[in-house]
Amino acid sequence: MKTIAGILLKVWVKQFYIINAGFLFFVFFFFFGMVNGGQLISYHISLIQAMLSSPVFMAVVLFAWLCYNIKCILFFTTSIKAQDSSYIYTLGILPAAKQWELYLLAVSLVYMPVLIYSFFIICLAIQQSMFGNAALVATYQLLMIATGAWMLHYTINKNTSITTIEKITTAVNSAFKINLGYSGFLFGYILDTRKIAFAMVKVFSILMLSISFVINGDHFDEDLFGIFYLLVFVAHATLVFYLVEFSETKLAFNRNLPIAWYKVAAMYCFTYSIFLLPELAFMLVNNHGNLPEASIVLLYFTTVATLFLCTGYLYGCGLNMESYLFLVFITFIMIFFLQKTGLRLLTLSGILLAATVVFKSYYHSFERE
Amino acid sequence: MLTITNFQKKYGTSTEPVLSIHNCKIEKGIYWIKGANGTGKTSLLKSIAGLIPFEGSIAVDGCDINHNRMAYLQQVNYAEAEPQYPLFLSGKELIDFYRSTKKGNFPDSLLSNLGVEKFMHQKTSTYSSGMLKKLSLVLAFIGNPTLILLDEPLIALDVAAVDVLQAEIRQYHQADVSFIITSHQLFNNELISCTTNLLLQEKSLQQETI
Repeated sequence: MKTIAGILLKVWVKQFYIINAGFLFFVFFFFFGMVNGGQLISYHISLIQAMLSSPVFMAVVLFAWLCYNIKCILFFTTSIKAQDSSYIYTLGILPAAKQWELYLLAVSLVYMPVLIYSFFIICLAIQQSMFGNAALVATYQLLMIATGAWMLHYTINKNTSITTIEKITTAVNSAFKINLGYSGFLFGYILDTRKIAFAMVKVFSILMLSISFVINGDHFDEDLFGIFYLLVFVAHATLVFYLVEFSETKLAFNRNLPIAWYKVAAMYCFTYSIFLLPELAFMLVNNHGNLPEASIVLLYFTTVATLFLCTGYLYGCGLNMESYLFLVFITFIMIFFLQKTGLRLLTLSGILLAATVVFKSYYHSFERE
Repeated sequence: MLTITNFQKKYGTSTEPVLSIHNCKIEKGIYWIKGANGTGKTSLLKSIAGLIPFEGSIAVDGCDINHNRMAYLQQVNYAEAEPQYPLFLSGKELIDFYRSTKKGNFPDSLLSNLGVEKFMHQKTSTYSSGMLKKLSLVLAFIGNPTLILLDEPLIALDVAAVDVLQAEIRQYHQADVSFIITSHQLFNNELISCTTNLLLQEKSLQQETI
């Protein structure tokens, strides 16, 4: 039994966390990374209290957990159906009780992040004598785990009816899938293939911003912040390189599709604006009056425009890394001095104009060296 | 149908073109480009498809790629010899993306006859080279093209799929769609009988005289 459990941990649980590392990191960052360390516990206590006292909020949270559970179930069914996983069906010869034990273990482990958070919700509910809410959350999570285990049992033991499962998963997939088109491909690439690089860039960025806003919060120095923020931009410039390289190799077919250059440009800008949302949120939450909020928002859009300018550089230099790094360095120096002028709106407009001209000039004439 | 004027294709910093076509006009039909390895067949198809830059002009039914790129690309479809797609995407997602940009008709019969609908929900990372080829062929028939460029379309296809493709080419040809095909493998006699050979040699394109 231990041997089988060990195999399942490797092929299901470990794989699940590897594949979804980017997604889980993003969720973790969203809930725990953006709040000042000292306020983290009180922030989550008030979040849980709001959930326990508001039926609407509770329903939203339960729905989010249901979505995560569906994601877990889809992972299991897809991995069982994979061509190199046919050996999994041999689990079907085990006694039903043993199978259920294994499936419950596997489902619980991939569902663990939700279970841990639910545990704290239940504890807080009991402490505040909200026994009904505690029972609701506990029952709901048991139901989630049981449903997942039942789906595994059904998929493995009724493998002749696999098309039924396929129909369900396809329907669920299409119901929950947001088709973002080209931008979706760019996000997909970063979160699928470059998730480690993405996570490192985000950790680095937040560290840089933490130094300015949290550690030096009481002695905020705008010049020092300017340098740290430019390092955040440089870190993101690596992601720009990956995206353009991906676009011009695996998405090269796109050039045979009738998509105007400005639409491609807009999709790059949209992607960068989403990538930079955690930094924007972090600065707004931890600002405490150090910078006017309008300046932070302008800075965010300036970074999006600068990353767009970097995209144009890459098309101009034929994805040559050496030339690209030189241009990024020049941009770093240029923006540093532009920031000192205090003309933020003019800086943003100038960079956006330059980026558009560079992108338009080189996009169609691009050919990889 | 296809007009190529003062066309030159150079790579890198080289001043010597790998391909130079002064003036070439091709009427509607099915064309089979022949030429030894390295003569520039793929470069020519990629240039016509808008995938790589070139000097000169290429126009389909008077619509020049340099002047009206969007309208031109609505008319010209392309299937690569060795297609590459993002591994995390499914065939269905790629088909949906093509449909949303090319608009127009969808080759339902090709999709089912090549068996693409059976695996299109899987990620392309699980596809064999034959499955990738079939997907690329389905994508090349999406929309309302007047010219379809097929680079080595028979590579990796099984016998049944070759027959399906040839039948589809004939059917589209009857509907006034032109084809430019490169292939080192032979088509069946029925298709060969309605193709015109184009010979790519000495960096230029000539209609083959028999």
